[in-house]
Amino acid sequence: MLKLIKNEWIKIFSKVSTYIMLVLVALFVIGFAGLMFINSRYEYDSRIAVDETSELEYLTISKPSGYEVDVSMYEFMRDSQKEWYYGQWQTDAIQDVFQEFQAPLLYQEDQMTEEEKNEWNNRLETAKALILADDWDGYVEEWLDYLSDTVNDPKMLEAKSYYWNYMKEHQIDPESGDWREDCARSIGSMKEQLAEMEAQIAAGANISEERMSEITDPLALEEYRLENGLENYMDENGHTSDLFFNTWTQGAMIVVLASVVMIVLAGGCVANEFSNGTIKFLLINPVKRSKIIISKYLTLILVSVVLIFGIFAVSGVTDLILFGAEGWNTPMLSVHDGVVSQGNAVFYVLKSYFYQGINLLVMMTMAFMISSLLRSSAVSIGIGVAALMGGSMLIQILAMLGCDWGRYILFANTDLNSIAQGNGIFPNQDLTSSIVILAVYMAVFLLTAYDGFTRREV
Amino acid sequence: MEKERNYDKTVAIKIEHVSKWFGKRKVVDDLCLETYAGEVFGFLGPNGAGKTTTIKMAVGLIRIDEGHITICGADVEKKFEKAMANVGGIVENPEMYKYMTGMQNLRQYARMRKGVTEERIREVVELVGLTNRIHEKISRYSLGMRQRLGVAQALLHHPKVLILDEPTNGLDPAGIRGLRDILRSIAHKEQICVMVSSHLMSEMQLMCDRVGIIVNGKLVQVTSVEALVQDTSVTGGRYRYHVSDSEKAGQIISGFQAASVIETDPGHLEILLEAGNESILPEINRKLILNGIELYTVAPVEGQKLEDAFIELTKGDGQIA
Repeated sequence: MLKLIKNEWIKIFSKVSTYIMLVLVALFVIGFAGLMFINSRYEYDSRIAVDETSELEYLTISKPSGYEVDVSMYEFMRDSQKEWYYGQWQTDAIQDVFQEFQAPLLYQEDQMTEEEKNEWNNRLETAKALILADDWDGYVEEWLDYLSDTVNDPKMLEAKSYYWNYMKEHQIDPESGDWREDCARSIGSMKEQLAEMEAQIAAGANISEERMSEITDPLALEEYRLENGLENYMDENGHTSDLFFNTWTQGAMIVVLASVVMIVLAGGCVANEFSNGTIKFLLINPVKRSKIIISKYLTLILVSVVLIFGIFAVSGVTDLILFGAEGWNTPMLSVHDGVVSQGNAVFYVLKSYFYQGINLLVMMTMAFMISSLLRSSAVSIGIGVAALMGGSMLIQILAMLGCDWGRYILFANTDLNSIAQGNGIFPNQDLTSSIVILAVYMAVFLLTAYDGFTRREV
Repeated sequence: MEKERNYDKTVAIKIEHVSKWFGKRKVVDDLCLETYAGEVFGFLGPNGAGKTTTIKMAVGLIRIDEGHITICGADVEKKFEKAMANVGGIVENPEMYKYMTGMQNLRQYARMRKGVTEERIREVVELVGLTNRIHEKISRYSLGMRQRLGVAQALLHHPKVLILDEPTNGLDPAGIRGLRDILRSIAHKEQICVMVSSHLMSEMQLMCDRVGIIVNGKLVQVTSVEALVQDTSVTGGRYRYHVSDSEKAGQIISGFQAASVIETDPGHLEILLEAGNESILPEINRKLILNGIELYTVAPVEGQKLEDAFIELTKGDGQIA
């Protein structure tokens, strides 16, 4: 059997066309990494200025509820003789200030004593002045002071002050783009939601554990990051902000190109023996046909594995060269029941290549079956590539038309990466059932190919 | 040519009551045949008679609908691997992997068979005269060279049975003679059974020890070549005359009932005597001389004998059955 596999291997690798395809795949891998690299180097001017005039125009025409606060805010911004940009701390702060201090003055003025009115006005003016003077530290103090004055629940107070305290404590400049700022901000807002939920539970509301863990799990993750100083990490779905790992994981897409290569090889594998007439010399050897067809299939699997590992390795090395080795230590973080565990991200990259590899295997087997059945490499390659490209489109149309039986079609189950993340095209698709469906299709393909080849009259 | 030969009567290929249908058409009809170790057996028949179909059944390329074929005692269908271990063959055209060299092709087949050494590969390449071109790609080979490589491929594993479908196809005259010598010598010296199919009768006459003639899927005659050629009872005799006046001679010969003129050109003519009428030859000669025709030579035409027998036996009406 090993000798037969060696024969098939030699047949594939003594053709020039095989090498041309492999070089093309390699170029794609390197080209993709290069594009990602260029993209990461390109600095966007992402600052967008606030256009007060058009905002005011919109507000006065459509008058959404509470628009008076916004109107007064934009008027202030317009009259401030200053450019405001989205994402700047001043712009965020001025919105908070108007929501918190101006709104009561506008809507609850008649219920207020003169003293209270003065107090609100005082806060408003102080905050405005601090913002215009670009005094971050002063503004933080003022805001913390406001929170401790108005929030009674200690948990809520801790939650609402978390961000401000953290920024103050670690001396973080809000304009520096420090990753800890985003992290602290989301921790603050999650703590706030949590405090609200706890208050509701205390008041007798029924909130499921699942719903709670939707907040506690990401909260635990973000806190873990801050504690351990992890700017970049990879989540369970393989999403990461680290450029090296992101490019490497995304590179798994190129396995689709390898699928085309394998469809071409599988489509020719049996059919070319017939069209070149070599089948007769192949079959008059003292080797059973079953052994020949099995060794052909095993060789194709071997080539696929080598190809996928090749893409994995070439893309890893290219990305390492382009993005440097710093990203290498990026951990994979997963949270279960509020406990964060750290894993190796390389393993998860491998997993996404593996899922793509399953897709490749299924498509290749289909082409192999057609090749052995119809003895035409052109037809098998054509159908194989069309299925690879158009299969998911067909499924999307079926899903759109609400044909639920579409979930049993091969192509609805080939995108294992998405299904594993719960993003299958049909609702409630899970990995296990998809793998079972794929296995059934594979068995049918293989048996058809086997039967077609061993019983064929030559 | 060697005269007497003692065949070792070991049965090599045994075809027993074999039939094959293509759809509703019976292309091979109850064929029975035995070939022996140490002989070159010619399998003759017009186009579409069922030669290639029989050969394909013998090497397991197509199913046998009825009957059995055994090779060196092993049933082709039941013990395929054992049967094929003793068979080397070429079926239809010798098609090889064009993108590989001749040597790489041979190595492919060597890996699929037992006991083929590098030494043996060189030996068969030398035998078929491809040593100088063996490292060239097949795409640069002529049909004749591929045919030689096909023979080399068939001989690789010292098979006891060689089955060659039209092996002289595409060979030049020197190649044909070379192949003939190779096949005859391995058959007789190494006690191999060589089965050759062809429709080139003159070629078969020189190459084969025995021939089987198949027409419309039925075996019509199995006989030794010598017997067939010498047995004028079937074919009659063909003679070539060298005379001074071929036209006049032709007229005189046409006067005999049992003789007919086939060809006439200035100075020469060929005649055919009906089977069993050889005795009138001296009478014809005497009459020619008495009529004042100079008679230089009279010679039997040997080369055409098998062809005549073949045409006679197949009653070749030119229609493919």
